[in-house]
Amino acid sequence: MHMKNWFRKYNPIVIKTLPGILLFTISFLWFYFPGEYVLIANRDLTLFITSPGYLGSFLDHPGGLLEYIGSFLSQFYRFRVAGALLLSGMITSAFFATGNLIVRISGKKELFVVGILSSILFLGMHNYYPHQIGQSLGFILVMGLVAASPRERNRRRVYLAFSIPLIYLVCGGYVWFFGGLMLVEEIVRNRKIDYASALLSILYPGIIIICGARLVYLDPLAELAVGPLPFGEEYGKSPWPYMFMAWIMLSMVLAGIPKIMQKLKPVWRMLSLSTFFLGGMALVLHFSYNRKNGEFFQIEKLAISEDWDGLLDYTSEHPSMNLFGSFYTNLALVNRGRLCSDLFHYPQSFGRRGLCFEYDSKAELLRRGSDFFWTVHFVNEAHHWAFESMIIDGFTRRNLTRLIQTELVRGNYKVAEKYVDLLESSIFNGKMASHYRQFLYNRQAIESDPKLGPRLNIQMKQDFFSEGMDLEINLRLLLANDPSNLPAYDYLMALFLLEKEVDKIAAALPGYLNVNGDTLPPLLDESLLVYKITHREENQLQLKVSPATLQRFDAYTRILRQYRDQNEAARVLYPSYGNSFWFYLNFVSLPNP
Amino acid sequence: MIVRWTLVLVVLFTLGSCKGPALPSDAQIYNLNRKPLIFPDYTGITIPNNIAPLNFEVKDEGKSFMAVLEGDKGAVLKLKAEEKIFSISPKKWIRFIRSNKGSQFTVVVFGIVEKQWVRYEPFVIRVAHEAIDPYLVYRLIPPGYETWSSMGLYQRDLTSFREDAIIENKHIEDNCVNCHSFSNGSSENMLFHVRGSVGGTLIKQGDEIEKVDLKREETLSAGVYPSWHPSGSYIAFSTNRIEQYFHALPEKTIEVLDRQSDLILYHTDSKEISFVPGTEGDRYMETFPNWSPDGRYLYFSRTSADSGTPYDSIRYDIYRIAFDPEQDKFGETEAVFVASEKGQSASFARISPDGKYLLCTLHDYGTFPIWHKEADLCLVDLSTGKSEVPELVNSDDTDSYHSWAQNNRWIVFSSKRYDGRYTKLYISYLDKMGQFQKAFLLPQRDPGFYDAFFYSYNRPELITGAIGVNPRSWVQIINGQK
Repeated sequence: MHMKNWFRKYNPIVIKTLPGILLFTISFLWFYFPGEYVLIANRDLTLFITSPGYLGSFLDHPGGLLEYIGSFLSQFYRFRVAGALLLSGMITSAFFATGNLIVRISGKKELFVVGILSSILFLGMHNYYPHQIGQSLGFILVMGLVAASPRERNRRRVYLAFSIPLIYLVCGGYVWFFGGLMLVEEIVRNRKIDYASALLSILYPGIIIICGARLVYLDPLAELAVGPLPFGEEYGKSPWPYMFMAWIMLSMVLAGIPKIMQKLKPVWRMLSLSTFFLGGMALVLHFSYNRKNGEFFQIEKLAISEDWDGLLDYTSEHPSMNLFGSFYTNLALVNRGRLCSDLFHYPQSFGRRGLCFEYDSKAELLRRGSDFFWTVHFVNEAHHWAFESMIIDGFTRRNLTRLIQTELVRGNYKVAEKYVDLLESSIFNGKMASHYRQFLYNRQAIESDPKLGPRLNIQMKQDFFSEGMDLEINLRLLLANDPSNLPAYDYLMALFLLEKEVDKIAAALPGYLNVNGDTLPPLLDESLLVYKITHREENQLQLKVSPATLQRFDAYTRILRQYRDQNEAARVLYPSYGNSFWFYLNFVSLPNP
Repeated sequence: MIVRWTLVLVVLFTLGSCKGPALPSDAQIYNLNRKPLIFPDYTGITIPNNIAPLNFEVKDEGKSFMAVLEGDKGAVLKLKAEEKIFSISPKKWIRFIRSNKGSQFTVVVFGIVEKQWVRYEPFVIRVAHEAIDPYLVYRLIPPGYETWSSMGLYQRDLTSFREDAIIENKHIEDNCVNCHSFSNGSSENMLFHVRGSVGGTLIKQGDEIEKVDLKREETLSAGVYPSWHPSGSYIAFSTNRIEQYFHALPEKTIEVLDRQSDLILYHTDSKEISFVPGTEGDRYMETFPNWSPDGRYLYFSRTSADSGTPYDSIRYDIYRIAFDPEQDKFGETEAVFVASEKGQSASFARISPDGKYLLCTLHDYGTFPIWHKEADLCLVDLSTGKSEVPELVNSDDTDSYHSWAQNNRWIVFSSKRYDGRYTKLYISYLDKMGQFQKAFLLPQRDPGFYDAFFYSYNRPELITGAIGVNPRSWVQIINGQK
């Protein structure tokens, strides 16, 4: 068959199926590989409970049902394949929804391909990870309803009269998009305005919303008018929803222009369209993809799954300059007993904040901060942070798991049981719930569990108040209670290293060595050397610096002496000594937090 | 007796023949020598004659449970459990407890355990002559420490399961709402605080509602813990500088401490604020004011501890200061209950409407008992000064905030006994001899409700009539739209 005929005559395989398959495949591969961060970032935003009460909690505001469905769908993000399939399905459906609209307006089936750009813009929208799948669903649903609307004037008016309140109830502010599309579709298709339909499309949603605000809902009008559209302070700044909506409107207008692109030869038409779409995709991916986000969420995924070796391998290849990335890297180091050996193998540009955040009632800090306290066996504080995180974020798999762990360790079985029941009633968490159920009212099982047991057995003889703003005090008080708490010691030493407190390191070394089996990690060895050099006269410390460290220090100082220019010295020393305490001491100064 | 049980079995046989297995003859039923395990535990309690149905769940192993409620005055109520849950028809329940008012009824539970019909030992529920105030107002909030999200004030109709929101903070920019308070148990005069971007104190007098700012230059803070004078002309508040700390010991959670506190008096007509004499300054810390029902005394917690006192040595006693409402003048201050003598601290003094009793919360130290596991309710006879920590009311966990019914016979109080974290409400009857009866959990339509409920009930306040204000009105006033 000639190409000319292929393109002129509507061929569903070329126009619909092939682009559909292509879009589905590309977006699947995208979200499976580089775009996986979208799945990681959104996989634990809500705990979807299979109870009527949970559904009811969404139904007290317009658009709640859409959010409910979105919450359900996002649970599939936990599975990489399912999540990528879901997102690629959503992206492909944007192609079909747009194609149907365009064909309906223009009557030209070959224009179905125009929908490809909608999919590409959808891809951009999802690359901005705060974008929720429910929000995309709102767009698709509304476009589908416009495509299914009757053409005949009276039936159309009736359709508008009934569908607008319903759409408002289910999709909230998407009713505006629906009204706008209906109006444009009407004008472009009929070349004239039916004023009744126009009023129903634009004025009627406004009346419904105002009546809702006055009579039914108590939320502020602004919230009732636009929620849950992907705009506003909570959503953040992303141009993609605006571009998507503008494109849909524009494509509908263009579809109404007769003989558009028909002057071009089929070959040129195909070439220009292909170039347009490919170029569009390249641009969208370029501008919407944030590599740093991708890397950070990969680190977070590894931290949550406690794959510490995997995390350290990953951060070796992709050093994180993000506060949370640094926090997780240090968490991995301490869990692998490498914190005082390899601290400076990784960027430490956040200083002590990279070890533990100062308390602040911000969701992003509370969500992660509990991990530090859990690691240093400070169970009450781990609980405190997890609970505050739950207050702000609502129950999530992550905070609920920590609440279960901390309540089990503290012997609060009844409330732990309540949390286990809740976990069990959510989807995809049954296995984890069963795992924790075995510990309820069973101290012996807790004692023998590798995660819970050590926290249960920690000796807390003397009560103290946690110092939310002072890491050193917290760690010292913990160690005063239980000097054998190695993770707490590691963190304390790391804190002193980061703060260049060689005197404090020297003072704490005997205790540390007792706990660490008389092994002096390299960085502490290096700091001991500095202490000995700077305290030659009053040095009472009997500890000896290892010959290897002394040798390395000689080589380091030899190079250092060769350069008067500090920057030049640093440049030369960095490849071999960038991971040493001496390099950090001499060349790294942290900005004020 | 035999005739009665035969009659009951005949009725049950008829009932049973309609759906599910029927009860066999008496001879085939094995008598267990123990009461059934039920939740909530309603065995041996005394209930108001207007309380909502006491739906309950059998926690014992078994199936096909049935129950017969037989009143001493003759009425009988037959129930069949669905999935071990007994749900009682509200209409039948009301008729049943009214007919047993001032008397008692016996509950017999039957069930099939290991293929054998069994009859559990019966238990008794007494129905008091006195009703409880029909509405209960409380705040529902996830029990967080420093942050908050969703919360609201609600009123529960105790004669049914209906609960209505008074205000929910999602409608007022997620501000905190707290410390609702009423004048002598009437919703005519009430107030609550809003903290945050649209903060203030909402004061309702009759149909008038206004939002006021109670912070003055000379006061430590805006008004905190309130108490309405019965005349409605004054509201006493504490003003507090509060700090909180987090314990390291697993059995403890959080310590909430006052570093400074005074008492102030808000004049509802002139909107002026004055100090309650002798409470300003740093000599003492005073908090939790509570007017006596006749308005002649203002009770409060007081300590002489200062900022140098270790937190676990700060102990409060209950004092009162005389007040002459006609002259608008305070008189002498006197100690009423010196808890510190026993090495304890007393908070939340509430005087019974007849003025005979003082009910307070007793704990080891400090001023904020809601996180103190040892906190118990303590009843002080104001005529004799004798105090008692009633066993039937208290538990091993925190028992703290409480409210009296206007007929002096009922109290509602908050307790963490159920799971140690999420506070729930319990009701107890005080008989004419001044003895509390076994407390019972606030009934819910679904007995399993509390297992999947992740809010705490705060500050229960009994009131005699519903708050008639539309939530929209509160929202508009708070948001400055009215």
